[in-house]
Amino acid sequence: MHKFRHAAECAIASLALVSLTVVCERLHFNLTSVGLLCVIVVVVISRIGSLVSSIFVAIVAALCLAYIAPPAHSFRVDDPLDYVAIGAFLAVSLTISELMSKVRQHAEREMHLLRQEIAHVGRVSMMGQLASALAHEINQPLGAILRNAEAAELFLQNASPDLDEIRAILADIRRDDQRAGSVIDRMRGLLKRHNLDTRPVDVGDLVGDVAAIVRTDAIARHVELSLEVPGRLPPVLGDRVHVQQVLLNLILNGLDAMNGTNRENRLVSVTARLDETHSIEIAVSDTGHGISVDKLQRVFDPFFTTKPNGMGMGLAISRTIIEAHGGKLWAENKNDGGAIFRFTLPIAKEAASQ
Amino acid sequence: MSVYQPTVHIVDDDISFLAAISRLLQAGGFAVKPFSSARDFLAQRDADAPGCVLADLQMPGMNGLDLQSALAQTPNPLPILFLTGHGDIPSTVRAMRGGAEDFLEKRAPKEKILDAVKRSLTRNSCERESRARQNELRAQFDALSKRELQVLAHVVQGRLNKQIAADLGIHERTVKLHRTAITTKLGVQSVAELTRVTLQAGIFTASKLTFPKGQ
Repeated sequence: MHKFRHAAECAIASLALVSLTVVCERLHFNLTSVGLLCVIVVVVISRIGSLVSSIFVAIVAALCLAYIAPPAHSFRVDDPLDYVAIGAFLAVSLTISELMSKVRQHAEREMHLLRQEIAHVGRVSMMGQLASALAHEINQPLGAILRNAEAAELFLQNASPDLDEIRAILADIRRDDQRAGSVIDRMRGLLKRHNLDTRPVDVGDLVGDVAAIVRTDAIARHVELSLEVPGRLPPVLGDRVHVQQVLLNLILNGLDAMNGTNRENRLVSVTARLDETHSIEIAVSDTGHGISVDKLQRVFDPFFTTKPNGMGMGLAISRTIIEAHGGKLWAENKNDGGAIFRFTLPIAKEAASQ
Repeated sequence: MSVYQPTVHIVDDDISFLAAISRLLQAGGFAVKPFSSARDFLAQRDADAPGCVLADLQMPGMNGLDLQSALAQTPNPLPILFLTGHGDIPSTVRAMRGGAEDFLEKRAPKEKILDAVKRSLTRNSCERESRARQNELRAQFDALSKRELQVLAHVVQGRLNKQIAADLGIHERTVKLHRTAITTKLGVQSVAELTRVTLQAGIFTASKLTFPKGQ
């Protein structure tokens, strides 16, 4: 894909340079003006293209200047000053393009960091919304540990305590400790500052982990959470934390969308399937009021929100994340009310080639 | 009085907490029956068993408050204690209004939980006793005829035979006969005793005991 793009850039730029020098020669421009125009072309190319293509284009420009531009002579020049001029041209144009590409790389890096920083802020704020549910999630095993320990203490006061029972209690305490630990691990995983790290990820695990995080919140809001992920889906290529962030954001939006609706009919369902283009499509739908048609696009705009306390960044961040993965994220309304958000992720290559 | 031992019915969707709290109450000397959902409890419980319910407030499907209202409609409503990870004010208020016995945090001190369970078991046995007494009394009233009940309603309001006769459109002597029949059937000696027994049995609702307007 990239190679093709470089070749196209080089071809177009070379064509442009040749036609430019030919036209200048016909119009009897002097060498200095043609040289200047060539430098501009090289710089423009270096701004939009890669370093390789700018070097190539600079050499083409030098050749054009030597062979086509006035005074029209071949490379058999006698005047050593001509060599010096062409050498100087090459040096200047390459230096400028090199500088330009450095600046561009720097800007890209900055942009990338900024994007990650925003994504991180988004995750932190989402965790803030979930804080009370997560506290409950940790409280549950802690409560079980406490009650088990107290029961064991009481059992031990017996003259002949049932040691099997006490062993069972200790095993349960250990398991509940791990359970509380895994809640904290999941939370820490999402809160960590984190560079994009794409690798094959199992869709079922991904959805399951996110469901474990929002389960308590869903129960507290009387929302049923349904997960339909076929077992035989190939893994997707993505960054686990970032994709979880998107999924979490969509599910939390779904839960919010049903505030004030009938308690009997509150359902958020997450489904995954292999779509026609051989990507995995994951959909999150709710049974809320849906999104009015004029807002279907705008919900992805930064700072656009329909919630009283919303920042309006969630969906904007989510779309950026999915697009960085080479996928798409869009919103639809369901026929029977409620909204559905779908996103696609590429299938991991190892699995696709099998 | 009862053949049953009072049982603490524990309802929690979190299996490991359910096991832990069951163990603690068992170790504390209570008979327990664990249920992992409110529906299971309502379907499987012994409808006449004494005891109390210790239920998680937050459960998927039917939550603690739903369970409370479903339980209140049964003939043997057990006192209900709520356990919660973190109780929010609206559900606490609702639970207390619905007659919740207590509201406990899942990690409340052990003594608090054991005491609360003991208290609600005592309350349940008192309630059962008074319900049984009331049922016995009511059975005595079953022997009264419809007319005798009408006369009784007037008598406990302190009305004179003459007034009763006029109201019901019968002879004063007939009223006297009915009154004798009533006191004999219920085995009471005085009008004061008759009134007390009638109120205890809960035969008449409060509205029936007020005088008709304009008299």
